Amino acid sequence: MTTELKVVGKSLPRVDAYAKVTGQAEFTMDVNLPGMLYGKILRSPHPHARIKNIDTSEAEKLNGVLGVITGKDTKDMRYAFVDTPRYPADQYPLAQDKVRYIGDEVAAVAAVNPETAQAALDLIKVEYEILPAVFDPYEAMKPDAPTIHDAEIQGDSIWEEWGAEKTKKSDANEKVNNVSGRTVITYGDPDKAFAESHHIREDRFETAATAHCALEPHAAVAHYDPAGQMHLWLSGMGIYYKRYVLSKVLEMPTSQVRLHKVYIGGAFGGKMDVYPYEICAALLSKKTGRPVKIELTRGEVFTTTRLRFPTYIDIKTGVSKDGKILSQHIRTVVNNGGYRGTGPVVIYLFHGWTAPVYRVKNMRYEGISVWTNIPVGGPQRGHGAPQIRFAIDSQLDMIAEDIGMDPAEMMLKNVRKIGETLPNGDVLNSCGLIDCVTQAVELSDWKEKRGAPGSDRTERKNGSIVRGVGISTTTMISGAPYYPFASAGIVKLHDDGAATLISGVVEMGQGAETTLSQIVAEELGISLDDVRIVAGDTEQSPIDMGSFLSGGATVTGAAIRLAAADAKRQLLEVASERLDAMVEELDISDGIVCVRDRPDRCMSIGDVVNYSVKKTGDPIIGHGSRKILSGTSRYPSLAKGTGRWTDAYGFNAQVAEVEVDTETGQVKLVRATTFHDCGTPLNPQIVAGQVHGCVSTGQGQALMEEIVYDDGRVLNPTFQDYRLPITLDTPETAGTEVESFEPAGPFGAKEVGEGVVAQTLAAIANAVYDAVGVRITTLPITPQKVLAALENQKKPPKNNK
Amino acid sequence: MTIYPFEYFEPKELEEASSAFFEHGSEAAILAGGTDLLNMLKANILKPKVVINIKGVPGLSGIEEIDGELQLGTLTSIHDLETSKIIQENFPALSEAASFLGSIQIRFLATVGGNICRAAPSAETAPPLMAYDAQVYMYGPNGERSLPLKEFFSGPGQTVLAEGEILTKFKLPIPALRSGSAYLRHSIRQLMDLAIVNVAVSLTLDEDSETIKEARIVLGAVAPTPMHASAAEKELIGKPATLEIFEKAAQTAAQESKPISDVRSTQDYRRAMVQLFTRRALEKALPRAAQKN
Ligand SMILES: Cc1cc2nc3c(=O)[nH]c(=O)nc-3n(C[C@H](O)[C@H](O)[C@H](O)COP(=O)(O)OP(=O)(O)OC[C@H]3O[C@@H](n4cnc5c(N)ncnc54)[C@H](O)[C@@H]3O)c2cc1C
Repeated sequence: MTTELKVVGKSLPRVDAYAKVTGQAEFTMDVNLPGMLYGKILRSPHPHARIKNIDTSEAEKLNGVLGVITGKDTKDMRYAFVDTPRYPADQYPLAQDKVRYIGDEVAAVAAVNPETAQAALDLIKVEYEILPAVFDPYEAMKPDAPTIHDAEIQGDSIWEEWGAEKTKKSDANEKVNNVSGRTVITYGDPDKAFAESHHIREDRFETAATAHCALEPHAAVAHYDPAGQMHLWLSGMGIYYKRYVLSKVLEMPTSQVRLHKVYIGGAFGGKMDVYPYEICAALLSKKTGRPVKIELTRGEVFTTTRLRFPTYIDIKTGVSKDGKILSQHIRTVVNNGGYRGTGPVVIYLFHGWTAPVYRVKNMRYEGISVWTNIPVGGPQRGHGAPQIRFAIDSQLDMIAEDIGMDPAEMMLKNVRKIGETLPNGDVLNSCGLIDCVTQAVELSDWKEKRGAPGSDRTERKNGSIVRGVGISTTTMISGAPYYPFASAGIVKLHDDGAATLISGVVEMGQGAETTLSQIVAEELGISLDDVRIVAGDTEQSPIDMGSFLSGGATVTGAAIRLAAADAKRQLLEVASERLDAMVEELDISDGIVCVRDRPDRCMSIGDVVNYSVKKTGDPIIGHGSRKILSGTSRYPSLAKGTGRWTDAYGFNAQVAEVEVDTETGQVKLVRATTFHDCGTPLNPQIVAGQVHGCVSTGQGQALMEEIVYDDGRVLNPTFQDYRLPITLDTPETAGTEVESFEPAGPFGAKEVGEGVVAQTLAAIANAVYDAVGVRITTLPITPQKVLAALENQKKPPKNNK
Repeated sequence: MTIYPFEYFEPKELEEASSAFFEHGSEAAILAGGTDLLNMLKANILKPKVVINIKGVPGLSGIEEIDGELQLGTLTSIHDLETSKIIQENFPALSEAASFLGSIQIRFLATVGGNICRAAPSAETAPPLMAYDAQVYMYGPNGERSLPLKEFFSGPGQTVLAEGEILTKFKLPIPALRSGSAYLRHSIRQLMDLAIVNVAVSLTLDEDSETIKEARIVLGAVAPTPMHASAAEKELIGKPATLEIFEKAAQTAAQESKPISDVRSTQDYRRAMVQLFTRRALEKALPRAAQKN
């Protein structure tokens, strides 16, 4: 470990706390500009239809309506999150010829108030030719199913600008109806390893579509000023990414698109994409010359801002007699809905969340994403990890039982260690998986609660309630190559000894403004109170990779530490002259620069800055930057899984303890013991908050959360019917960080707050099985399913074997 | 989510409220706590031209014992039901039900009359009020009238209130000696959730403290309106209060219930839960009846 830290690693109060508890923090919906109009979106009521005609004349005549736009106004604006030569963008801000899901954007209106805008929508006449629709991905792949994207998409893709090869690689796979993406990864010799396996299992798992449920509904304010700049306030996760895409779509130079700072009321992946309503706000502002605000309703948020992909997973695993995984064949199918969303990415990620955890030398992985007529899938906290970890660790629990082994012990036989290199070339320079598993087992009383494999559990019953424990592990990257591929920071010093950090980071509740400020304070030797932050504004802040891909601490944090170190270097150079000592002899502590061991030869940082300004005019400004995966030039291949991907992985293990009511089938998560390896926790309290949040999200997705469809219509787009856990439902939590240090991150820090969500699902499913011998392989584990399974328990309970 | 414009009244007298309500007929809506009404306005389920806030009308709230009856004003808050001593002691199922409704913020705003007039099949306070034989009082253009609460609901979201009629109060007979009651509900979340099933039961024992003299089993969320499981109630009367008898009555209650499958649950599961929670509620009520002698 490094020398003793004074600010980093301390649970200091958040720097945004004051603004938030006093209501001063500004969110997009708080932005009100003079003359502002209100926009609303007309959406498709059909899952699949051809647009024959749109008549907006009545709407345009309505008093108070200032602008109406349709697909005609967005003709040249093809765009999407995935836009590569292989997978060219498949979406337009407003539908062109067809609508592909219920909620697809058809037209937009700006009016003097929301009521008039709503009334105008009712006056737009759209003539549809209803087409047959398909909702199930397996049905959609059949040759006679309706083809959702019928024409081959032509034109360039944005990845070419980022260095991807222009030529469209031919796809060796046979073309299958509605397949939107395919990943095939192989290494080792899976067939041979299966042949050598002592035991082989094949199982299928299914997960539900789930929603992000950020408290702040998505909103956008756009103001096109006559001088030609587009000002935007957006519910987003990365200002530089959104600026880039918007500049492309709007055909404006990037620097003419300005994103202003707003706080974000939670995102969880759902605010990363650029959405049609944002583009519509910009277009309507350009058209009317007035600022335009569009706020989505909760119903729109539920149906049109991406969902977790419903996923089907088949796994075949072969193990040795002593529980080592020898070979694995994983097939996944995701339903990505009417547009790709991140379908081709998530099928790549499923493997990505597999390789770093267990050492599997022989692997065949095949992932397929499929277009259907349900709402679109996208990133959501863990982006694929909950689905695949649920499947892998549920199956590991089953295999452990088959071979008479404790699952925790089996995990320890297979987890990776520090120093290992993954099949794609990523190196684990830190990896605390073994400690995570061992410590979670210990603190949760696993051995006593679980008992020996096959031991009797009847004595655990208390009335209708039975307790059980289950375990699961997971991983998460710390940043990955995606536009702008790097972060930078600026640290400017003041003549009173304070510092201002300027960063492109977006504060969406994760605590980045606080932890990044702690890095600056630590590096400069000042207190956190003396650091102010300017963040989240493209005009003021340097580039930032965005608060997604879990690279905030590692990538942005490293850039900012370099910026602070650069300021410190300049400061010490000036001080060394003034104090007549070598730079190496100087230390900074509590804002004072001293010659080492000479308390009589000191001066304050403020005095050094003053001196510098007086002497040369230089107020001392440091800057730093960090490229993701510095030293590599290739991006990973989504289709083949080759190529390096991240600098560091976070790891976790969790033991879930549940109570199952055998009469209602209801499962209650009573305790979650989580140990995680996030390297050095920059702020332990913020880390703990992230873990709690992950546990409740994971618990919700394990036990109750599910978007329910009927012919492509979301039946539960409200917080009443889409149930996520409330505080009362959340469990007692235990556990903490394991000792670990990540060399790539600032002060040894890496990812936390995304990965932990993923292991709660299998941990709960395994605990339910431990309690009552019922294996639920289809999420969520609802009381109905558990009760039905208990009734169908044909085989004698596992404990009486 | 746009609320259509409406005119707004704050009458100071019951008669004034009722005549304004009558005058505007189906175009008007009564506002009590507003916790249901505002949602219906936002979702455009209701588009009233006139909203009449009755909170300024005197005499519509409060919990009082008068001549062996409990009188409950329509504007009495759910929080008051939950915390009132008289109710906790004599009508425990009602205070238990109140404690399940929404969140603390909602319970301060929401009124008992609003809960009943909204007529949700899962309404929290309907089963206990019915189990306690509540009589409901209404005031309208033709003066006052009253009905047993079980005759008040006519369908999901529908009541027998005529145009211009306002619910004013409930009267509940104070339970006899050796009476015990209980309320249970089953939901996915612990709070802030609509019941999959809710059940209120009340038992009165004979002087022998063993034989069941009177029984009420009222089920919510498993029929278009909250319902008495009448056959199950009959089955209990005159029988010894044993677990076997309770189990049989619970089975009958499950058969009587008319649950549907929807996004919240399935028909079969709901029926199974009617049986389970009826049995559990009877088991919970019995020791309370035995204590009250
Ligand atoms: C977050 C949340 C959680 C909730 N949780 C629950 C729950 O767990 N269980 C539950 O049962 N309910 C729940 N509700 C619904 C609601 O809070 C209750 O039904 C409440 O009791 C309604 O009372 P109110 O005074 O707010 O009614 P209001 O909204 O004022 O009125 C409801 C309806 O009754 C009519 N009305 C009201 N008073 C009268 C009267 N005296 N005469 C004639 N008509 C009248 C109104 O016109 C309206 O149609 C919840 C609501 C919210 C917002």
